[in-house]
Amino acid sequence: MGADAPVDPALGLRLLRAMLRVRRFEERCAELYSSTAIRGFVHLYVGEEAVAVGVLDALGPDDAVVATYRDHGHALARGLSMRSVMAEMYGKVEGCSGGRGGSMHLFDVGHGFYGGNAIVGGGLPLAVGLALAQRRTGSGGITVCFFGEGAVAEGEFHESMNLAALWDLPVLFCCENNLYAMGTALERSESNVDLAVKAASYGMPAWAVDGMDAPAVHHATSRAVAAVRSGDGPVFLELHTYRFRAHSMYDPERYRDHEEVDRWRDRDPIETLAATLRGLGALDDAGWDALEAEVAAEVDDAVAHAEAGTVEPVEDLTRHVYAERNGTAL
Amino acid sequence: MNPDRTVTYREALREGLRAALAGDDRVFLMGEDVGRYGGCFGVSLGLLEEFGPERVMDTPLSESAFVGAGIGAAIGGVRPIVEIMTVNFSLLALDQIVNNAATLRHMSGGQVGVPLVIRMTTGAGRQLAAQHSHSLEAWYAHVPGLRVVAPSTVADAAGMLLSALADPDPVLVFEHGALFGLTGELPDGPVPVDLDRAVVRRPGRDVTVAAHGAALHASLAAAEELAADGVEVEVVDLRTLRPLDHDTVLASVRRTGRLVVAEDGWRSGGIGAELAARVAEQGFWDLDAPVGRVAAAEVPIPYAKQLEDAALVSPVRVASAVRAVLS
Amino acid sequence: MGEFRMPSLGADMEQGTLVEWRVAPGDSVRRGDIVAVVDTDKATIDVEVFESGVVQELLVEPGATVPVGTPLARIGTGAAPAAAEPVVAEPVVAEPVVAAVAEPVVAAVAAPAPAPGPVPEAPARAASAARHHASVVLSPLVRHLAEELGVDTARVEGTGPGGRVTRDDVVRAATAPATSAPRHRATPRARRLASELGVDAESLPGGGTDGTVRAADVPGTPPAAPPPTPPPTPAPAPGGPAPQVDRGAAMARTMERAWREIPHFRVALEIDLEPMFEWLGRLNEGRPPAERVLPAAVLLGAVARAAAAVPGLNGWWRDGAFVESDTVDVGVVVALRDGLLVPTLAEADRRGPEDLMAALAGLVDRARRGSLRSGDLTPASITVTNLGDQGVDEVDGIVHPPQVALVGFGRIAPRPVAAADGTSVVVHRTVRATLSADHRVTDGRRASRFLRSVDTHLSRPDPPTPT
Repeated sequence: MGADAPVDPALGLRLLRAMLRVRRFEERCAELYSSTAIRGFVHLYVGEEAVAVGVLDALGPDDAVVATYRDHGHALARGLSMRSVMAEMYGKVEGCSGGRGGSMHLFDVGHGFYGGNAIVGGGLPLAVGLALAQRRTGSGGITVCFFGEGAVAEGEFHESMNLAALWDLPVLFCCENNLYAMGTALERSESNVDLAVKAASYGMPAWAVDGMDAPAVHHATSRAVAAVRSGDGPVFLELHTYRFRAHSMYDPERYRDHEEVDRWRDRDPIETLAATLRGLGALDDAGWDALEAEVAAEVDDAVAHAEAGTVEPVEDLTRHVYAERNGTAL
Repeated sequence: MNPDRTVTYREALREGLRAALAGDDRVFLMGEDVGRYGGCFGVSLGLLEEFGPERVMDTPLSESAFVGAGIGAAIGGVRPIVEIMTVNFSLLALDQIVNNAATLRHMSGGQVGVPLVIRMTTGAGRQLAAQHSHSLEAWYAHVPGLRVVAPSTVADAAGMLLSALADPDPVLVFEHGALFGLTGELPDGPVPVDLDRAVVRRPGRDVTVAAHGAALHASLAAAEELAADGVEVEVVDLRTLRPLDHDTVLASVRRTGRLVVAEDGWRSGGIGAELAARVAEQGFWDLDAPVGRVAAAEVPIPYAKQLEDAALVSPVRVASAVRAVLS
Repeated sequence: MGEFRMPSLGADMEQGTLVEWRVAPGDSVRRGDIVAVVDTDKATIDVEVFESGVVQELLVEPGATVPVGTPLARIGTGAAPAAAEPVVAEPVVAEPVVAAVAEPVVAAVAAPAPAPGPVPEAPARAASAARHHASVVLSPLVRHLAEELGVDTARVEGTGPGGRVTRDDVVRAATAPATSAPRHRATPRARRLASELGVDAESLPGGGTDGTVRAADVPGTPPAAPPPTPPPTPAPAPGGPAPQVDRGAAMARTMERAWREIPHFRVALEIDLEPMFEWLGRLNEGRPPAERVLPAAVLLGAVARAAAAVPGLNGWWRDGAFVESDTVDVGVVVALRDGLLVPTLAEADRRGPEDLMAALAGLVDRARRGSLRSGDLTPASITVTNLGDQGVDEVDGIVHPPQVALVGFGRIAPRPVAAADGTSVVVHRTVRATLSADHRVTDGRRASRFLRSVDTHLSRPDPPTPT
């Protein structure tokens, strides 16, 4: 099944709902940021939802996920509760990282979610190591590592690709190519902009996927996951996508013009999939309204929960620096 | 128990590794040339043959990737020992050590521990010039979330690795390159040591000298020399640079009233700076003289022997610092 | 109706400047529409609205810099109020509307515009008030320093602007009447040891670099404690630090009882110490600093011998009667960092000056290290407190029950005394001794005899022959 193949309605509706949850959650985040309820750096995933949703729907419960600092979509798509993610945005104890991480560092070991990593390229060696442990312990799980196309310029990318391929480790590398590393366009930072070709040079299967098409992403990932799980070593996916909003909450967008943004907005992954499902008769106005209402209620609930959440006492400041032994920090 | 068993520091390190690999199936060693080559300093010689390639893994020259892989593997439930040839090359993995190993537990609200051991050689003294002669323990000791230890005796070389592996947090073990040929008795083989405590290696009532690594041995030699003049130096082996056991140093200073800190790293922002500050904070009223420091000269360590010697801590320099705080 | 507020557009943004409006009153807006352009310190950014509706009123003019959270516009449902229309279309009408709302907002951040018309009276009053305060208002730094140094700033002539008292003025005032005795630097350890011996460390001759007084220069300081053999690696203490005697609480109970039960009275005597210094100088001549006898030990010995010579003060109040002690066991008040200890120097009247010096130093050292021997805890029959190192002239002490007398010494200082001829004044080193005593047991006549006996013994170096 490719982009033109028929979409399974059940899968399509599941992906649509997952993407809408990410979109509405983040739109609320933007509003909360503007009113200073949320602070720090907040990187929105708006426009790129099909990537995280399509990839993570194809994983199993024993798999591990390493994400980037633009990680709300990955966390929600991996199954972290919206309450725990929103509470983390508020820095509350109920947050998925207990308020210590914030937007860029969402963690949930119970969901195999090993965090948003805020150093570009820094998560790749970690993912290689998680895969190494999976192989050594025979857990049967694989590790999926998300990173942006900007990471391809980092040494850690090349070291990690090489090591994973050399040792045939079960890693699925998912390169979210949204064309800009912050404000630097890909062609201004890479000698070869065909990233799948670069990855293939390490001796691993690599191909490009339309990252605005959630079912296509899901399909490609399923194939890749099967290959990785079989023990044949890592696979690289280049997912072509685009972020509709600023790099971090707000930026002057001097590096791209509005026409380009508008062209990509025409390919909004949510609207595209909704139209497809309407064409298939799997979605109507009532269904859409119900979906919107359900998601809106979940977002409202998450905000209420976060606002009512617990503020950690400053006496706890030095917790979690070292393992706690007999109740006291080292 | 074999009371007459004398081994080198290098052999003691190997015995520690062997005990670690034999004692826990989850433990494996990885790093550059640890397998077929036998380790760049011969520490892991024979371990590949004994434990096989799945337990002793040669890596590419990718410090960031294999240190990061060690972090990921430790998170994933196995117990890697990562060897970086020398502290100089660890800078290529600084991102993984400082941004990941040290922070993951905190950033995740306590969910993600990193029980990883990273071993590396530190120090100068072998005419290897600047890029192979750094002593950067103090840099790592600056970082919360890491534990930094320095075995300076044969017994600690053998036993500290076991303690480090038992620790639930990342432990950096700094093995001093100038000590590989040091000999000492190891009657009981590797025995775990308390990583929270410094230890008095030589008692004395006049001056406290705190040191680790090669500087510890320079200090012990200086103490011997000074004893002939009737000066009794108490030598404290710091052992763990983070968390720094200032209590043991303060207790010693309470007896002697004087402190000299000797270290192989540079003076500015060094271990001595930290210890001097803590003694000023907590032991001011016990001080009978300003704190003395002996450290490497503030130059990249040069190749030429007389220049390198002049740059490094020596028994003469320690003795002179001791005399200065006594005068 | 909602408000469109200055948004937070970055982690470090505290305020923003409205560059332009992209909407006007009456315009319909939808959630996500760009409605304004805002300049932060870093960039000019298109700003979206999070509410759908109709712009009712613009509250801030372009060019204004306002804090994050400041309302910029009102957004409601339905058409904008008619009055709002002219805000944009008709400047004549718009002016009061915009100015009335925008001005205070602007003023909060931007520099205030020059006030039109006559200068109001209020600022003038404020200025004169400020001038009035210039001579008495002190900066926090100066106020704090003056308190610390005990300087009365009212008596200090200020050299700062408008006669303000500056830091230097305070320091000068505090150090002006400096003592003429030679002063030396002392190490922290030496200062602590000396303080515990009742000695002013900085008045001692120092043997260190530049005359610095070190621990070894404090007379009677015992050699360093023998170092322990390297201990087996200690396990971390499970229950925190070892329990310690709560000295503060015990002392509080004793003092409370003393104040409640003992009818105190006090006599004082200024004692000329020149005779003592004369024989003490001979005694110490040629000795290294560590072996010299200090006045503190001599004072103690004189009290002990007076206690032996003048009956009725050396003993205890027990069961309603005074019991004279057979021996003179002097309690010595030792100041520790966390309170007081009063160990006992037994049979102090039978010791010569060197013996007393060594015994006193050992006692103080053991008290400081918390390793007193059982002999140090013999019940004292009389107590001495010496606050000379603290720089006070006199001590009006409290008797330690069941004892009946306490002798206090202030600092040894050069003071004017009548010369032998009775007609002129000379400067001699003196000390002021006080005796606090229990009036149930003794009286002023006996107490006075006691202090005169101390004086006598201070002038005589030789201890009585042991019997």
